[in-house]
Amino acid sequence: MKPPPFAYAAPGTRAEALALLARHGYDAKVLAGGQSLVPALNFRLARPPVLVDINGIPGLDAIAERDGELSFGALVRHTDAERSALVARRCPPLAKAIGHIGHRTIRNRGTIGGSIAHADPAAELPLVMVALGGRVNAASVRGERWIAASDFFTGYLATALEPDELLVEARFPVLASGATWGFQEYSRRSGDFALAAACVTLSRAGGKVTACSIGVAGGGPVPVRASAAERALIGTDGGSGACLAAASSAASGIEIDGDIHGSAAYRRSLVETVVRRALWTAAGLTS
Amino acid sequence: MRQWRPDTLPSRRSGRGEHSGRARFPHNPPVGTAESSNRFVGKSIPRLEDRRFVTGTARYIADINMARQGHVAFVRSTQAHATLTKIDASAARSAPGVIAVVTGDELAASGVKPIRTPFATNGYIESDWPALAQGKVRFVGEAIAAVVAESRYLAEDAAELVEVEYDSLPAAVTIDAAMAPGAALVHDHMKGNLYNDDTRSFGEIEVDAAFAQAAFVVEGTFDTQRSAALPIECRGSVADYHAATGRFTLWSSTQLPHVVRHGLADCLGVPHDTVRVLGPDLGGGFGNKANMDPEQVVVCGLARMLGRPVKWLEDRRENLLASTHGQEERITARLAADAEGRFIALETDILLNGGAYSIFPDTPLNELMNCTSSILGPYRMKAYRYRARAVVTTTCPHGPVRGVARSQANFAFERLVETLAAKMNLDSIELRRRNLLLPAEMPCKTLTGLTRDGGDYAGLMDLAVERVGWRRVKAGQAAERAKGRYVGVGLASFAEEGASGTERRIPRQLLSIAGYDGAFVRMDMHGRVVVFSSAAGMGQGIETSFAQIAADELGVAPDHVTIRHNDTDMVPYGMGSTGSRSAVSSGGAVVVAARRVQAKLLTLAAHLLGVDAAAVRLRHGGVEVAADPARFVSIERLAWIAYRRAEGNPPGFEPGLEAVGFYDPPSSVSSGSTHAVVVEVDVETGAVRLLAYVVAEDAGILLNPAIVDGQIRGGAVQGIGKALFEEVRYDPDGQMLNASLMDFLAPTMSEVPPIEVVHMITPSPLTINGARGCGESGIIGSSAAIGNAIIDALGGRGEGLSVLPFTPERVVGLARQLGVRA
Repeated sequence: MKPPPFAYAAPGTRAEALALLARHGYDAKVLAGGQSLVPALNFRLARPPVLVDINGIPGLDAIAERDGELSFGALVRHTDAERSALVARRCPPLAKAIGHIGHRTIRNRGTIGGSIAHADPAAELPLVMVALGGRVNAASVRGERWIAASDFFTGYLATALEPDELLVEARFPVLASGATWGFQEYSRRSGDFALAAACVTLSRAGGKVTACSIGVAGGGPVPVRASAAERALIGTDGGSGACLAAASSAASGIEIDGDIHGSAAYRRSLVETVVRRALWTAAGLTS
Repeated sequence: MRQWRPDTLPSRRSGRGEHSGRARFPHNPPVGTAESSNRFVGKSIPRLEDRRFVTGTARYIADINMARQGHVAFVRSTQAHATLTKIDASAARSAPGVIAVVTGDELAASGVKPIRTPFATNGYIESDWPALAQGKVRFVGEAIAAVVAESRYLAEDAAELVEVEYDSLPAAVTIDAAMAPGAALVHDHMKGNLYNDDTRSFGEIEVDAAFAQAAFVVEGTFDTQRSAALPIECRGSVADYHAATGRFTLWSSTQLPHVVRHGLADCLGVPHDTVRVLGPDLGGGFGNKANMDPEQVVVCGLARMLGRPVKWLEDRRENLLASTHGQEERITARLAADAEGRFIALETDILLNGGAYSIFPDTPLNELMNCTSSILGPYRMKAYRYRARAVVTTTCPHGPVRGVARSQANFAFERLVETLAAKMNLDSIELRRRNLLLPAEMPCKTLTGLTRDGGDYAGLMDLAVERVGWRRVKAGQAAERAKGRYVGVGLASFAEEGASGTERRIPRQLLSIAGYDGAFVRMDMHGRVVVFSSAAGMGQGIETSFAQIAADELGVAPDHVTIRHNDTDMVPYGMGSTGSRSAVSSGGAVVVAARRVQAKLLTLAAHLLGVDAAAVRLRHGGVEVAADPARFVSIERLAWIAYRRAEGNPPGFEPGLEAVGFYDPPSSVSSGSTHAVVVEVDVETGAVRLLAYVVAEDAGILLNPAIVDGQIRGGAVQGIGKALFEEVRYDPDGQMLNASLMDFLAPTMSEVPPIEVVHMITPSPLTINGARGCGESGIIGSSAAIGNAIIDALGGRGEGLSVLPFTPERVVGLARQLGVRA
């Protein structure tokens, strides 16, 4: 469990980092908090010839509100976001979700940008980003571009980032005024990746659901929105029965793989459970 | 020869007492336990070894470094079963920093023999285990070649360059696969994939006749998962060979230095006295270090071949993949009872997945023998028959894991007890009460020869039931269910036999190990004491509990006693630390040796005080005239005189204050215990939350109650892991699927409730210090108690949950089977 040989670069500026990524392309891997990459190196599952350590780049650790979105620099540590009053106030489902990421020592070191760029299908931040409709800013020597969450996660541990691009900022919409939310996760042990997780928001007016989002993770290769379930829920009273139906629809409508921690059938039932519980939480119903 | 017989023991109040294990220092001594001469034994003094552990200054195997040492990385098999057709190490040999690459044939040519574990009975067939594979590999992870380089990094880089060509053979991963007709033979010299096939009957009546006349018969088949011992510190060794003297020195993280020394000498083909095995601090063992490993043989062989020291530190992946696994058993059991529920007969058919090779020294049969014998539990039984087979498979070899089959046997039996209670429509507590051995019936032997040496087993059950709030939970169960909460209670009773002596070891024919332990006690001229013990310190607190023993026997303070261990050149011969033996056996040896030194102190003091030896007695700090305590001589003065003869010794007094002593415990002694738990089940996700966990235990005299409580709590945490989380998984091709701590799920503190430990104290009438072994008790009752509680929570009775662990998916399955839906 020692990593294979690699070259190590620690650029002091964003420009230097982008230049290194442009030069090495697929041979380079970005090191941020290292909570996923370093174990992968030690298992020799990842063998990048060059590590570009971005921890020395200034200005990537800010949390701020901009134009109805919360902005996170790529190097914001999970713990800092978890403990941010701004996040708790403006995007509570995100604060709640971050509490489920690994353990304290992992959250102390792991970064918002790293978790999103790593794109583990059962990870919390990609789920919340998909559920809420966030976006990331990818920078390269060619310039910057914004990528919507719905386009960003392309497969198991795969994203729309080009090899020369660095994820420099992540944005999550603030929770809409009057909207309610629910986040539910089930894992075998505290701190494990989710077997199933759901992040939902509900907006209601005049006793009817006017808008909702249902994000689901842990079933397939990427976190997804349960669009059919969302459409079915809109216009209902958002009561217990409507939530049950939406959860059932969400569970039946998504791709689910089994693994050593649970068969596909079991995991599908878990998806239904966490979606229903998240919806009930958002709807103010007790589970 | 046994040094102290029960009738030579000082009298003890045989009272019963208890103390709550939840208290912190200062610990109240248990009521009615300590004899008056026990000033320190029985007290929870803070652990003397903890200063170095909590300040990060303990020295582990990773901290042992030799000049010129090479670092080893192993090339390990990627196939479960294959003929090795070619090993090309040429690229690796020319890689940067590489000192040598050694294959199995080259190691053998240097004079290293395969590991062979003799075992004389039961039709057992040995397997030869070459320390590096020769000709064939039999499990994924088996060591094929050793790369020695200037660093572990370079060694791992080069190991990737060794090209191994395999000619695949069919894998046989499970008990079923290995026993199926036409299954590939793992070892050609065996007739089938069996290490043994052993059937025995016991009892005053014939088993079949007993079943024929039984009023009730229940049966079940119970599958217990393959587990891993999972010490926090993985294994590791540093070997040095001194060519001029032919002496080997092996620093190794091991629980049994002397036994490893024997095994190594045989494999290396050298006289035993040329091998020294010594261990630094151990970061846990749990059975994983109670073996002689191929890696230990390899590093010694490499040191001799290369003429330079060699170091190997196991990493977590190797530990999970290729150290040892254990406890994958299938127990089919039938229990017969009379109309009142009194157990009459038991029949078992026990299959163990023994893995690819027979481990040294235990062999897979030790696990089987524990299973076949301990399954009778703390109960009466009239007739018993077992069939026991250890199956050869293409998986990591079987080795001891804390509990060694006792928790598996307990799981099967205590589940059957519940099934019988359901069939009789009788409260299972009452059913147990009708069958538990009574204090007046003990000491006695079970049908399989285990000694049950006393204690109130029903009282322990009642205590656990009371403390866990059993009746309150049962009374509120229906109301909770109406609110959608599924809460249940469960228990398991057992007796843990431990500290087996030579009398019990000999019939087992574990030819490599006896059953006694030794201690050498030295008081220096300043009254400070050093004890050299054959036990192996691995975090279990022997440097404190043994110091308490020596302090009481020698009238000194525990912190004036240093315990040395884990060095075959220094410590007397003994079995090391396995099988819940150290408190009784190694602790007993400390008593024997210290009393010999005490006798010299008394002789010398009597002489100095001008009275008969019979007129003086030891007290803390010195020796006094019993009738006139004002006449007193201090330990410091006695020690000075003993060495310096400053004021004249009695005629014929042998200088010095040193003695060696051995203690061979009784055949076995048994701690009684009941685990009782309260669980809440999420019937949708299958999650099981432990709301309360109580262990009631009678381990006799507790040398240090806080240490005992720690042992029990730690064991219970491992037991919770076995009940709910841990399982080594293979695919049908023999690839391990979860060789990392991300996927092999050990419980963390978040999954563990507060564990309350309550004691009853009935001193063992058979051991020299009144103690019983209890190092494994914490793990034994967990699976059955938790399983019974889950079934209770879901409104079931008796049957269900016969496969471990109780994964959420299995719990959901049971809920659906019982018609429970949220």
